Amino acid sequence: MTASGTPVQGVTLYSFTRDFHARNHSVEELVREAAARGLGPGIEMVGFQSIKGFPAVTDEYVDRFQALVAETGLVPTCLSANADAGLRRDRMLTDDELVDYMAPQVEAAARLGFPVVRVQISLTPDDMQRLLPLAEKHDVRLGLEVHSHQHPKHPKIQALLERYEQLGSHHLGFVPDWGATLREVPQSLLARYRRDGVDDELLRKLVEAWHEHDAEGAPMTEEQHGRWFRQVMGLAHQHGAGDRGIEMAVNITGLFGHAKPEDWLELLPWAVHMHGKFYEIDASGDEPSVPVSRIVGLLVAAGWSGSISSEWEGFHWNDWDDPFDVVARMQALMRTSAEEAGSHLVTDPDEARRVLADHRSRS
Amino acid sequence: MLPDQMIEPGTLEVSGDRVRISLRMPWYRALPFSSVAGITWAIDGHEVDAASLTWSCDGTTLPLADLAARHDLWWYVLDSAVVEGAMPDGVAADGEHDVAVALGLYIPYITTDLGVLRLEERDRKTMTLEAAA
Repeated sequence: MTASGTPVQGVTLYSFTRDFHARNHSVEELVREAAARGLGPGIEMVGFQSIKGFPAVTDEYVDRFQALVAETGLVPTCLSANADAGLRRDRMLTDDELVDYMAPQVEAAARLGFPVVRVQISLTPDDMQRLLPLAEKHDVRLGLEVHSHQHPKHPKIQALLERYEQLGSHHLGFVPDWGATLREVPQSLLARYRRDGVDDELLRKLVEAWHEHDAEGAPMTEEQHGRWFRQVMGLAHQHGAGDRGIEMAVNITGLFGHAKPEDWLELLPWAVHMHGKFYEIDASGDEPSVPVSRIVGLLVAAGWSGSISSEWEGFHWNDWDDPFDVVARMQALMRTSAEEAGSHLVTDPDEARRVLADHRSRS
Repeated sequence: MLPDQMIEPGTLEVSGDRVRISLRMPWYRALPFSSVAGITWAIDGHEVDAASLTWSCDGTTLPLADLAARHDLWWYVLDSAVVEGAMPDGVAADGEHDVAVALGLYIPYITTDLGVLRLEERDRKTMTLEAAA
């Protein structure tokens, strides 16, 4: 029988985007606030968000960041890098250019002390293989994010999995994002649209479209996703909300994925970190759109003991909830879910370091 | 994303026949200047001539049309971009005005079968036009 997993609690500063963007808190203040509120011990940030000039990082910045980590007792888990294949307007980057584009980001993560670098779907299996020596050199793990509209069974993810199995290196893996496995359209988004005067008939049709797509199953081709995207844009136009058509299509077909929580199991041996994506916590303490409890239960039962960053993305439309409070409530849900599954979520920094070192050596 | 934070309050200024405003990025992370797909800016419904627009950010000023080629320069998420153009005819040079901005933004790591994702974010605020210091 597999020993129960003890995933490690943590947060990504991305959850506090609205607050950071409004210049209410600096990165240093966000890190201290996360620590003071017990939202760690794991801490993640997005390089291009938290560091001006990224991926160029000065020695002075590295020193300051490491002093901040020491002061707060937090445990760096993941630096999110970006695979900007569409950087240029005249053409897409070539594979050579994209690999070169990733290298300084990987190096910056290593210098800052992050053991995992989140990378993105523009990278092919060949690109990942070409980045492997760099990951080995810096002893970091490259986790390709499995983000809606991709999902564990998507051909691109399956092709990566196949390559990982051939290469057998623990320096390559995935970062599952729970937004690929939703069970409902977030109520807070519908509340926002209502406040903005979007008519009820359109809201009903958006939810209906999401459920039609859910019945069809997570998209296996770009054509299928494109068809859904155009369908939602068409609905917005028909109902006089054409100026929000792209946004609605991005939300309904791009953010709220249709895979099943059980689909994550196939990727678990390669899951180097996770994004505990969530949108809202209701009055009962549950997450009505992302099945947090179910996912945590599956991870624990499967013996998975990696780091999970609570990633609140409700801020896109929700300007009424306090981001620190909503993350705390989601983490309470995760802890309860782990206990109900007969285990616990790691919140002690020393235990987190031990558990993550062990997780790293096993996979 | 965050379109409500795009127009920076208190930044509508006139200087001679030019008018300017500060914009915040409607996205969560730094993007290259080449991600800016276009800006439509109207004051009291009078559009500021797109050909007259310049863009100033992080010490660099460029005609708006030149941004597409500049994937080497970055708009950091905490930096303001100052957009300046010819004051449209018919707009009083003081007092309160209805200001509307639409900004197209390419998201370089998200592609769909429609190509690189291009968002169109809009913000509208009532602002007092001030004389530039």
